[in-house]
Formats: sequence, C-alpha cells, structure tokens
Amino acid sequence: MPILQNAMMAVMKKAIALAPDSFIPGGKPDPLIRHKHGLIGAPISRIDGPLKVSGRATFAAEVPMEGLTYAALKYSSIARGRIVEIDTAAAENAPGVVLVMTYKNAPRLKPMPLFLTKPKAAGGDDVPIMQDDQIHWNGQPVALVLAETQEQADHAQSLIRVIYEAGGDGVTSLEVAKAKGSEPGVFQGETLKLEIEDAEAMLAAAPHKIDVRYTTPRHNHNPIELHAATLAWQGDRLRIHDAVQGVAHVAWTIAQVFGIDEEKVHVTSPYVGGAFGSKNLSQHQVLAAAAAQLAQRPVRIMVSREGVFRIIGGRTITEQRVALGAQADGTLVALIHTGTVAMTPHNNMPEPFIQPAKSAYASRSFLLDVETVKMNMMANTFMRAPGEAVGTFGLESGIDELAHAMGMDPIDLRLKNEPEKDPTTGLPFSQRGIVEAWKAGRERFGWRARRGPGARRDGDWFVGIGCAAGTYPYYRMPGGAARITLSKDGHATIGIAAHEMGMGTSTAQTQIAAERLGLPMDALTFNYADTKLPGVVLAGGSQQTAAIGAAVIAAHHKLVGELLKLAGNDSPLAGLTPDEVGGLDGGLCALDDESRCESYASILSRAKREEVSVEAKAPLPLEFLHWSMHSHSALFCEVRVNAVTGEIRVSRFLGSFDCGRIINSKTAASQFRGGIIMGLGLALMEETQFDERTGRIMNPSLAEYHVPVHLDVPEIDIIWSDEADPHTPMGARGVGEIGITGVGAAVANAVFNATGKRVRDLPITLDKVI
Amino acid sequence: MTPFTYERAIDRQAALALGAGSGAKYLGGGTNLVDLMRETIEHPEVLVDVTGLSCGIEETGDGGLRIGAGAKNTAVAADRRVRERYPLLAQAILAGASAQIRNMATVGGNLLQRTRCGYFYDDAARCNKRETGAGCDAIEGFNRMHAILGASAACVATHPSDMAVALAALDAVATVEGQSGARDIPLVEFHLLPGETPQIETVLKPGELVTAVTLPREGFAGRSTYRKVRDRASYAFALVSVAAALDLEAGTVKAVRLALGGVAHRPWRATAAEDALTGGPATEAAFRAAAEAELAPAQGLRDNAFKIELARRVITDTLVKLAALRETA
Amino acid sequence: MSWTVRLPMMCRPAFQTVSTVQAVASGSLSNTHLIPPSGSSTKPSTDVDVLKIRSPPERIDGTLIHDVARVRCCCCDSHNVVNGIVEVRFGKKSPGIATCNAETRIVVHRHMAYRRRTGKSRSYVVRGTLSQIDEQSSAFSHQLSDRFLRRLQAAQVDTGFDIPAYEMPHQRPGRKMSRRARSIGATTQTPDRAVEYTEPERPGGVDAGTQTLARALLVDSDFWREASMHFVVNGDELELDFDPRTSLLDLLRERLHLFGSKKGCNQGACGACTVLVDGERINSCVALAVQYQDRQITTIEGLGAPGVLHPLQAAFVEHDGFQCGYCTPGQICSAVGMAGELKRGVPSYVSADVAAECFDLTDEELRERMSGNLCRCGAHNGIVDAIQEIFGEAEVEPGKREAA
Repeated sequence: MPILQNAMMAVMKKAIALAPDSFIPGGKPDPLIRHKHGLIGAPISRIDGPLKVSGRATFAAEVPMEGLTYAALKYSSIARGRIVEIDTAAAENAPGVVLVMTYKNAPRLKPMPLFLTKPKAAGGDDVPIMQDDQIHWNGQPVALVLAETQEQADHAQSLIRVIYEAGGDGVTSLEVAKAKGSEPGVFQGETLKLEIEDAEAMLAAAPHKIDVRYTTPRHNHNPIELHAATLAWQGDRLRIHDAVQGVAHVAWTIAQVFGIDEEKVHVTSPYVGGAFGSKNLSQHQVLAAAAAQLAQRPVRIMVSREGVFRIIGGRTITEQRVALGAQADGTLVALIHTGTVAMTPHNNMPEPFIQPAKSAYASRSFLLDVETVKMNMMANTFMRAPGEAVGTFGLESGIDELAHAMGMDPIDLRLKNEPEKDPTTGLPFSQRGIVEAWKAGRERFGWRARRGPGARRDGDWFVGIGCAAGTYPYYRMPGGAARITLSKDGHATIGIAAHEMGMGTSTAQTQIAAERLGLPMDALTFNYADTKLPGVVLAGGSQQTAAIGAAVIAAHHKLVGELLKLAGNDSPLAGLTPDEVGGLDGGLCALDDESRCESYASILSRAKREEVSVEAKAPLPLEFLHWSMHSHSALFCEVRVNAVTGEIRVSRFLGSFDCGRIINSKTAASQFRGGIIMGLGLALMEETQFDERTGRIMNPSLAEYHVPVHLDVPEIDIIWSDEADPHTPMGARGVGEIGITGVGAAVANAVFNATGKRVRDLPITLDKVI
Repeated sequence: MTPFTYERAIDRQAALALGAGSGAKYLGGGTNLVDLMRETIEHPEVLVDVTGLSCGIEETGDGGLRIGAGAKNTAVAADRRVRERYPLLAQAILAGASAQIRNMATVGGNLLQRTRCGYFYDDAARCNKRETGAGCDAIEGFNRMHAILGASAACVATHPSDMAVALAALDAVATVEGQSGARDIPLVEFHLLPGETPQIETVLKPGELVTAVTLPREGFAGRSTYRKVRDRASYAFALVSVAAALDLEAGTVKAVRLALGGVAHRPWRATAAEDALTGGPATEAAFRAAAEAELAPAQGLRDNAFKIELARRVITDTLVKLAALRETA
Repeated sequence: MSWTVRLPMMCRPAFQTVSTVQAVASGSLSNTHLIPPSGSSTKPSTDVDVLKIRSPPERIDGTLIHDVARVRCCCCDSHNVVNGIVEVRFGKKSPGIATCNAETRIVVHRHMAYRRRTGKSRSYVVRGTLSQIDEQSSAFSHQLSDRFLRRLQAAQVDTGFDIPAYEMPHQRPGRKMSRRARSIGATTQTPDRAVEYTEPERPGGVDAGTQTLARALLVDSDFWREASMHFVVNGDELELDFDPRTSLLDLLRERLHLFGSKKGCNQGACGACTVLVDGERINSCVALAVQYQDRQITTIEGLGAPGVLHPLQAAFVEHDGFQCGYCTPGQICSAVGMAGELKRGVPSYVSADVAAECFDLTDEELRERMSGNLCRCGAHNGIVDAIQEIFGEAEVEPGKREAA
C-alpha cells in the first residue's frame, strides 16, 4: 500500500469501506470463478519440473559470463563502533586477486530506500553501504575481495586485518534495549496499537481468564540456495542475473543506490532456490555491483551460509503477553495481545504479531500493541508470515490454555467466538469458512479420541493431540501490470515481471491464462521475472497470484475489447461487450449463448493481423479496505513425547484450509505442506543464537541451526474447502504463508495434551519437557 | 583456504615420510578437515592423502577384528562381521552424520574430528584451542552442546564422534605409526581432557598416523546398543549418547560397558558406573544408582544443565531395556 | 612466412570442425625443428621451451581430452619430460595413422601454432613432424587454453608476428560459441572450410609432398605447478588441471559448467551437492576434487535430461517432490545412492536388527536414509512418495499416501 499520512489514510479507508461493492475491484466476481471443470484446480505437474529435476534450471550463480571474477566478503566482528585500521595489503597481493574494496575505495553509494517508503523500494535497512568507517551491526561487510577463482577470493579475504574501536552507544542486549524505552511499531503505514473498550478492566472482571507470557527467538529463512548474483556493467548499464522476489523493486532500488536511471538496470531472476521473504536487495548485490564497476569485470557473488546469517536479516525476537477473559459460556470479553519486538535504528520492520488477533475472534474488548525497541543487529526483515507465524503461537496457545482452564473443548471455545464481521474494523467478511474448516478437520483427524493431559501412553511415548487456528490476510499489492500477446496461430504469450521461488508460478499462471482464454495449456507461454516485462510485482505477502491475477484480468479485458473491435460487425460476436464474452475452445464465445463464437484465428485473419498485443495495469488494491479478507486454517497435530528423554516427534498432522479457490491442487498442497514443515521447525528446533555480549550470531550454519530433516516430517494430510472468494481474482487467496501460521501452537498444544507440560518459549526442545 | 600441496601416499612408508614434514597433515575423507581448512582453523602446507591405505577389515586371529584406519565409515558399519559381532559399533557409526558423509569419512578421520563448538569455529570469538590463553567464550555463552564432565576453566567443548564412544565402550585399541615405529593406544586413552591445554586433543605425536583400530574378541553382540539423543530426529550431533553393553548371568551383571557421548572432551567411559554395577544385580535401582554415581561430579553450564538429568535417565533406561532383552542364540 | 595447416573437414557429426591456424616459423629454427620420427629418446634442443597445447575435444585412443594435458599415446603412453620439455607422441587413432614408434611416421591432423619471441623472455615454439594427411581420416581440432591464448595475444603486441587466428570449433550443431572463443575474437565458421597448411618456404625444408606430423608442444613452467588429472564425469573422460583447493562441487560447477549439483552450505550440512562416485553418494562440497581422479562421477545431468528423464526424475515431477528445485538434484542423486546401499544390505540407525540380511524400504527407513538432504521448501512428502514409487514396493498415487 503506498504510504499515506495516517489521517488521509483514515479518510480514504472510510470512503472505500462505504463505497458500493461495484466500485471496488472484485466487486463483481471474476467470471473464472464459474468455471468448475476446467484447468482451475487441476493437479497439473509443474511445467518447469523437467528442468528442475535434471539440474537444467539456471539459478543466479549459474549464468556463465566472460571474464568472471568471484567475490568474497569480510564481515565485521563488533556490533557498533568504527574501523580504526583495515590492512588489505596482503590480500591485494594474494594470487589471483583483482580488487580489494573497502570504504576507502568503494564508489559513492546512497543508502537503500526502505521497503514501503516508495512503491518499488526494496531496502531492508538504510545503513550506508561501505561508505565510511562506521559499524552498525556485528556481521556488517567491511571488505569485498574479487579474484579469478572463488578459492583465491576466499583465501585473500582471510588475509585482511581489521582493528576496530567499539562504540559506546551499541545495544546488543534486549533488556538494555527495553530499558532505553520503546515505541509502538508501524507496519504498512499502520500503527500496531489498537484499543477497543477497556480490556484490562474487563479482563480483571472476567470469571475465567488466563494471562501468560510467550517468547519466540530469532529465526533465519535459510533457503537452500545461497543468496547470489552474477552481474556485469555494460557501459553504464547494469545487468544482474539475480535470485530475488521482486525484479522491479531490485532494479529501482539499486538504481537509487548508484544514482542512475532505473532504465539502465536489467534484472532477471527466473529461478530462485527458495526465499521465504529473504531475497530482495541486500548488501551483497550492491557491493558486487560496486566492485564490478571499480574493477570493470563481471562478478559472481555467492554469499556463504555464514554470510547469509550475517547480512540477510531474519525474523526478530518477540515477547508476547496474551491475556484472555471469558464468561462462563466461553464468550470472550477481553482479548489482550501485547508485547515487544526488537528492531534496529535503520529499518522499519516490527514483527506485527498482533495481526491474527485483529480478526480471529469476537471479543467485547481488545488491547493490541506491539512495542519496538532498538538493538544493533542485522536488520530484521520479513520472514514467512511476518507477524502471523509467531503471533498465532501466542494467541492460539492462549486460547488452548483458556479452554483448559475452563474445562471447555478448545474448538468449541473458538467456534463460540466466531465473529459475524471483522471484530476490529467492522468490515464485512468477503468469505470466511473457518467454521467449516474446523468441522471438516476435527472429523477427519479423529479429534473425539482426545483424552486429558498425560492420559495416553504407548510404551515409552506419551501421545497427545492439539489444535490451533492459522490465519493470513489477503493482500494485493499495487503495481500489477501484464502484457498479453495473442497470435494468429492461436498461441498466447503472457508477460509479467513476476517470480518463481517454488510456488509454481508459471504453471498456475499458464493454467489460469489458458482457462481465461479458452486455449490449451501448451498454446501458452508465460514469461516472467524480467524487468523488461511489465508490472511491479513482489512475490511476497502471499499475494503474487492475486497481483498477477488482477493484472491479467485487466489485460484480458483489454484484449477482448481489441478482439471484439477487430471482429467487427461481421462476427457472431457483433454488438457484445467484453463483459459478455469469455474464452472457449480457442476463441471468444458469448457467455449466455455458446453458439455465438468466433475463433481467435478467424478474428485475426479476417482483420489481417498476425497478432494482437495489449498491456494493462491492475486496478488499485482497494478490495481489502472494503471487505475483511483472510484465509484460515484449522490445524491438528499429534505428537509423541518420549517419557525418558523428552524427545518430541510429530506423528500426524492435518491442515484444513479455507483459502478460496485453489488454482493447482498439486502445487497448492505442496505449499501448504511446506509452510507446515517450516512451522514444525519453528515449533521444535529453530533458533538463531544471538550472543548478547557481542551481538554476534553464533550458529551461522545449517549444521547448528536446525531445520526439519526427512525423519522429522510425518505424512501431512491436507484438505481444503475450495470455496471461491467472490471478490478476488480467480476467487483465490494466497497459499504461500498460511501454512506456517498456527503450527507452533498446534504442536505446543499437542505437547501439553501429551505431557501436561505447557511450553511457552519456542523452540519446544526436550529440555523444556523433561 | 591457504594454498597447499597435495600428495597422494602410495604406501605407508611414503605417507609417514610425507607426514613427517612440518606443516603436513593426513587427509582421509576430508569431511571435517576440509571444513576446518575453509575456516582457516587448520592450514596445512601439505596434505597427505592416506585414503586407499589401510582400508581392510581383518580377523586378528584371536577372535578380534582389526579395522584399517582408512576404512570408510559406511564400509565398517555394513561389514557383516562388525554387524554380527560388534553391533554396538555399527549402530554408533550409523547414528553419525549422514549417509553421504559416512561414505566419505574414514575411521581415522572420525577419531580425529574436532569439536563443533561455535566459538571454536568463529575466529572473532575467544578460544583457547585456537589461541592459547585467549579465553573461552563458550563458558558463559551458548553451551547447549558442551561438556558436563571433565571440563576445565579453559575449555568446555565436547568430542562429536559417535563411533569413538562405541570403540571406547568396546575397549578398542588404536594402532598408530610414526617414523620411529608403531605403538598401540587404548581408545580410552587416545583422546585427552582439556585441562590447561585444550589445543592438545589426542596423544598423537606430530607425524603419527592412525593405521588401525583393533576390536577385542568380546563384542557383547547379544546385549548391546547405542542410543543417541538429539535436537532433531536425525543428522544432528548428540546432546547425550550412550553406548551400553551387558553380560548377564542369572540376573547378575557379569560384565558391563558404558560410555557416553556429547558430555565431555572425549568419549566418556563410565568407569564409576561400571564398577558400581559389576557383580551386582541387574535391576533398575542398581542401574539408576550407577548412573548417579557416574554423574555425581557433573557440572552444568547455562544451557546444558539438563544433560545431567537426561544422561541419568538415558543410562538407566538403556540398561533396563538391555537387561530385559532375551538372550540371543 | 607462414604455415597453414590443411585439415579436411571433420567427419564426425559431433564436431564440425574448423580451424584456421597460422603457424609462424622463425627463421632461427634449423631444419631439425621438423624432427623426423626417431627414437623415443629424441631430445629436442634445450634452448627451446615447449608449451602444452590443449588437446582436442576428441577421442584419442578412447581418451577425451578437454584441457591442457599430457596426451597419451595409444600404444606407448609415453610422455617424456626432459629439462622441462614435454614431448608427446600421438598414436594410432584411425586408419591412416601410424604408430608412434621410432621408425614410423605419425599422422595426426592437428593444428600447429607457434611463434617465437626473441629477447629475454621465454620462447614458445611448437615443434614436430607432420605426417601424411589422409583426406578420409577424421580430423580434429583442439582448444587452446586461455592462458596460452592470452600469451599469444600479448606476444602479438611484442613481436609483431601473426598470431594464429584461432577459431573454436562448434561442438554441436547450433551450439553457441564458447565465451573463451569469443574472448579471443574468434568467429564461427562453416563446417566445410578446410584449414590450409602449406610448407614453409625454407631451403631444405620439408619435402613439399610430405606433411609430417606436429609432435611437440610448448611448455610453460607455470603449467607444472598444477597437477593434471584424469576424471570421468557422466561418462566423459576429462583431463583437467586446477587449484588443489578446488572442491569437486566447484570443479563440476565453475569449471565444467555442470551447474546441476548445487551449493547450499559448502560444509556438508545440507546435501544439495550430492553426486554419485562409483555409484556411492557423497557430498561434493567437502570433497577435494584431487581425491576423485579416475573415479566414475555421475551428476544429476548424467541421470537424465528433459525428454529422457530417469524414472526417479519423472516420479519427482509427478509427485511434486520439489518446489524451488534447488535441493532436488541432491535429493535425486542421494536417493539413487540410497537404493544402491539398500541393495548392498547397508543398515541404518533405525533398522531394528543391524545384522539383518536385507532391509525393507519402510517410510521410516527411507526418511532416515534421506535425512542427509535438507529441503527448506518442505517437499518432503512428495520426495518420499517419488522414491517409494521407484525404489519401494508399493504403488503410490500422487498426493495420496498410505496412512503411516
């Protein structure tokens, strides 16, 4: 959402909320929603599958270039202070070294514009990039070496000697940061503070209540592909083969950093080996481009795994208070979700853990607040379901604790508090099927077999089941635009600067376009991830499909208009408007009379045209200011906890999803599972070890930062309602992040049911249970 | 990684001659050494590739088994004689790392692998192994994986090998050879506690090459197990691991072997527990008392104090389960 | 004066050769620079250094050579080093090529490129004899190493001699010219241009009717710092030299441009780099390439390609055993290696009886054995389904797995 002043924003929102539905994008349902038996929802295998499974999909560090040099970074070892001396002589003289770049010889660079300060800003922080002797976090790059081989670069990097002077104002302890005072966080232009009625008073007066504290540690995304880019200057033009979630954003932002015209930067990123929020513009691309400029050589930079921990932010630490007050029948009278997150002086990413509480449950009163404190650390950034992933841990554990305290079934407690409309904004829901998701899920999982805490034992193992709700909002970011080119031979090409990090973008979009145009899938080409294509599309916030969808709807509408014009009066379609026709069997047909058709081939050849090409922008994303739009999930988890060691194994897991219409059932199921598995990591093992004495991450490796391995992952059962949201493109809502939400609580609640032990501090490791 | 010369040794003599040079290190599978070289913690000038030397597994003639130090971990764990006569060793090897690493790593390299302590790995941290007298940042830092037994004020690191724990329990003997000849070292004496010199991790003299590990006749095949407790289901280092073997006779412990991993700077042979149990009843109470005796001197740090209770439980439960096994034919 | 080498068109469809090389003779060379085939102890004159020429990407006695290397003679496998000079004798290749013993002339259709630099710096001279060129025999071209070419280019400025206008062969019809070729200003050639070779104008020169084989090479002492080693990658035989610090992974990726094997951690903690060596799975990132000479290395590219996928690759597509695709090559190679281990009866940590004769691929065994391959996208269920379908016993329908 473009940033507006809060006041203007409030007025705008009011206007949008009150406008008639038909004024709002999605006010009229996407006609594709009516297609029941076509490609939408089909389990189509990924069209880039054969390339990926044979190792032929080219990732960012795999593009050959002439005269390539390899980069190695040196990272600071203090959190705050300055470089007193940096000795690069030995490095410069090492074999194969082409350049050693430090603040002394780096070109003039501006800091990155921060995310959301401008439509295409992709900066995670606005720290000066190797421009001076100042150190702002432990891990900040202080030198870059370019050499003919990676081995030579890495070796030369190890020869650089730096003497630091620690700065007095550095803060690396959370307690010290808190003592310096906090500020309410601001996320996407909104202050993360909300009060409805007097929640503390209502809590105090409530007959049943819980008031507990939860904590979640830092996390790192750790996609398996190391952050990397292969880039070269061609005169004053910069060509970057990158691995990013937003090519347009990266091009614009890096252009600002170098003070050049965005047109001079060409970024492509066809395959990204996982991102989860971490792959935008970081210092590695900027420094590599700077070095390439200085050395006049192309550069390949592949950040080491240690480097990824040091210069790519992760999810920050949260401390959450969840206090719930309820009446005897379970009706909530107070919902308090407050707490503290750590940020840096140079970024604007408060982990917005109160987002789920804003719409999950009805309550008489609310007190929601995220306070931020500042520390000197690598700037924290978006990590899969920022806010919801860890906020649901607090909220959904709290609901479970309240249910237990009241002797009420936790699902019944939730259903009791199902809101009729958005409980904090008052907006009507666009479509909300969480109740059905709960009912379907608990039936399928066998929830009725649940016993009291510690009651079930199978040999050495305590067995327990728990549940939790997941939630993720529907977003659509502005900037969507698409080009559609339809040729006489019935082939269509869609072009949009969208991205593929594993979601199956090209497959899903080909299905959608084929369905919309009425063409077979193999008559379509989907071009993406290239700044030469239209659109400013960020693959984040689970909204890329919607963003692309709205853009393609707009472009398709324009295309149909063109085609109808070309068809003219001699066509069976004469006199029809674009809203009255749809694509079918290689041509256009009237929606209410399928006998009135003309094929694309016929229209174009009669018009003596080889092809027709249109480009259009998506309408502004106003729909989620008019409706309250969320996806939901009901999660069920069975754990086995070893009575001797406390080891926790997840033996069964079910996700019951309400995410609108599912575009590709094969890839969507994988996305849901993928999110759940990342949630298992969050629940049971992930923790970035931040040593508060130095502000340094002490487990910067995949050996010491644990993500789930095959043996940790059970069969995960996935069901969904497939009920279309009438107000979104294709009736779909995002599926990329909802999977991780609620999982932490589902596991914690299951562990409680198995053992009677309540763990409120992630990760739930065996020492917290024995 | 600093530049080095690579030499492939064609036989043991050549290996020892090359290894005698200063700045030379022996190279097995490289799964630990290459990593340490990339971190510039190790920086040999000459790498002497000894894979291909001493790969065989042979009978000793008195019922034991001599395993060449060049044998790959997988080859040892898959060897029929090891699996049938020393299943404890096979299980311990299989508990370590991943299949890919086990396929590459040699027995010698496994013994000589170095600690995973995050402060050892980070040259910005103070570590007495890397730099004598620098200090130890782990003692008041992240020390979940660190020692509860045998540590010192200079170092609280643990030895990460699983195989070595089983070898210690089985009374294996390492044979090493230098230019002045060969010698045998009981496995329990092979690795050192940190004391004041944590940088000295084994009793090997410079240039000495591990050539074999010999298992004695008794493998406790009927009643032994290796149990590894970790923070995820697989592919992680031990929080606590137990190598246990029992020889029972009418409810009495005729012989017992107990060694712990993940708790000390070396595989921890639990002699206090063994002494307490030998000749006594094979009961849960006895097992628990023995575990208590062994862990009495244990000291926890900020993050690893749970290991004491965990070790107590795992020792007890493992022995209880072993005792409950029916005798195999 | 100049030498040009006449070479007939390449017969092999795989290589559409063309090369034009101009060899520059130096007037200071005596007639004996064209050494008649003589005994194996021929000592070239020691005042001349010789530089290795990269051998052709072509099979010589079954050895495919891609890089600067010693070329092994088919029959005597000899390469003598005398005072830093290497002589390589080319052996019997096909009809029309004689053996390389002392009395026989050798036919190798080969480029000759040499120049001589006067002054204090080293001389680079290719010496050798040329044999009768058999028009019907296949000819090959070779690639000159970057370093050699750069030196030649540099030398051009120094000496004013013509530098061979070296053009890279097409390696496959339609294949784009390599960056190396482009970097030396090479251009593409049509396949049917012969390379001219004429005799030098020199009194007492080689019998014009006889074209004798170029035999020697240029040696630059820099080359000898790096070992030159024999590798077999996906069935291709390669001779390579490189920095001994190079991991097998980086050799495959950066050197051979086989980017299918992935770098995810570079410390053996994620398995994305898994390749097969003699059928066994290893982490190529912690493998020093020097240790894997003479072994059969199979990468994901060697298992299958789009259109001819290995059954396991096809199963991964069907069962959606991947999302971003980055860990996928490692998962697939690892699974193939795992299948081999199962066949050989290798137990795992979860095997109930470590001494059993064989092990069933239960879900638990499969997951434990594959735990060395991380996947952050969470494609685990699909990966297990795909592997079960191919290496397990039960049929698995995509998306519908048996309840555990």
